[in-house]
Amino acid sequence: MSYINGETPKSKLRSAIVAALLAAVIFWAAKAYISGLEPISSERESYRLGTVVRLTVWGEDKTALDHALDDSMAEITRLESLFSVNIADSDISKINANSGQFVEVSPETKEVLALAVKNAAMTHGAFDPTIGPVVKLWGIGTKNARVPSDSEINAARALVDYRKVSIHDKSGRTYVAVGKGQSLDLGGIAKGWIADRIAALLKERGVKSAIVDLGGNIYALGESPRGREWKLGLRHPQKPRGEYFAAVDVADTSVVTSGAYERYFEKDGVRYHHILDPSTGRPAQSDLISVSVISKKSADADALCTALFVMGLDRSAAFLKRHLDIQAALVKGGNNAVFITPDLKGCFKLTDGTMALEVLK
Amino acid sequence: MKRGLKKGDIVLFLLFMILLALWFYMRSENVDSDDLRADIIQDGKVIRSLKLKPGMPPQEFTVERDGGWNRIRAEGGRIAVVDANCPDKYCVRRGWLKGAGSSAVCAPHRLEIRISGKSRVDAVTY
Repeated sequence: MSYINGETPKSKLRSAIVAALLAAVIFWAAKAYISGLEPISSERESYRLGTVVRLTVWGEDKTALDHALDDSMAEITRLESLFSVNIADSDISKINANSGQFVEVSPETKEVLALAVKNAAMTHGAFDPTIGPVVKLWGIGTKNARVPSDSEINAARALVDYRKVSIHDKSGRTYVAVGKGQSLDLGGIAKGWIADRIAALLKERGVKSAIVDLGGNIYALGESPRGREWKLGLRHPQKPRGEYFAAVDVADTSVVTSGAYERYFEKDGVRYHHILDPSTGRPAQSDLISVSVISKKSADADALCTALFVMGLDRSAAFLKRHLDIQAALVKGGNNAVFITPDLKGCFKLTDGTMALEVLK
Repeated sequence: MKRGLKKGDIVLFLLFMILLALWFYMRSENVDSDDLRADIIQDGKVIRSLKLKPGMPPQEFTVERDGGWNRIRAEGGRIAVVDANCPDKYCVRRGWLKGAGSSAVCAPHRLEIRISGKSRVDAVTY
């Protein structure tokens, strides 16, 4: 046991210093790791688009986040003033008030309308932006909700036809016309389109992670601040809002759910819900109780959600087979069977054990 | 003998530090997992916030806005709009809210009640 060179009290001190430094490094690394887990976040919530809008963003600089949120809220207000049927001087209200004539519109209105018509064509009118007369007739979700007569329904239904929407560009300006008596209602696509727009705006501002929640129409920007994909719950069709039957792991993706449970009224024991079938002019008689669409574009998710609900299970399955780029989860009424598209297998997790899962072929 | 002790000292010291780091980690994980909080939000602003605990004493209060009112009751870890003078009364029909992420909305009065706390998902569609 000979002391080799260096084993002196001085080196003992050095060892102690090294140990202390090492410990300090571990301590600070742990602290940095923890604070890295929880970056700064900021949130805004407001009543817009006829629903509750909630934006949550994560990043490094609180001031920059707050600015991005202020601008996002202002943008939502601006777009609502263009698209809302409840605002008298919106582009959409002007088109409706002047049916049969061309009306000049903003580039944004043109863009959302063109996309609406595209989705209508793709779904053969199961989604139709000219559903306005039917929506107005039923008034579901307003205090004027009522069951109209057959003749009223037939008259309103006859006006619904997306092929009569004309979009016309002339020397840098855009004009839109609908057929005489027709009226537009972008309720089935505007929220999605605005969600895409806000996600792009936040991204432009350097926001890396955000949840854009426009009345349950969700766009998950980037990855979760916890360094994994976002986990989004799909609203349970039979349980109160906030509860979910399945979760999907996604990044830079939108998830939209449509169900007959959200807005409805009851008359003589019959429930009339807000998802109207353009072909019948009545609430859709679907064998599905919930449809979720998972898509990179929230506008498409929004429109297709409504369309698949209207189509019902068999037509939806056939449609999804032709459009393999669209991911969806369908819940059938009665036995609560859940059907998902094949590509969803890896990221979809059923959390309600009473439901059975089937992968569409 | 002296050498062994020194080594042991270092090992002990490191262990202590690792434990400390772990404790820090646990603490940060558990920050808001204990209680649920209900926020009463009107026009996008939180106007009242209360903790929801299973054994809490019941409390009832009314939120008013331009002649519209909602009567809210919180008891035993849950909260609900029990009465309101809005036309559709969706908020009342919504019933009791319990879990994190649950919410009730009264669109005519621009009112929302939302429960926050630890949830296993980042957001839920509706």
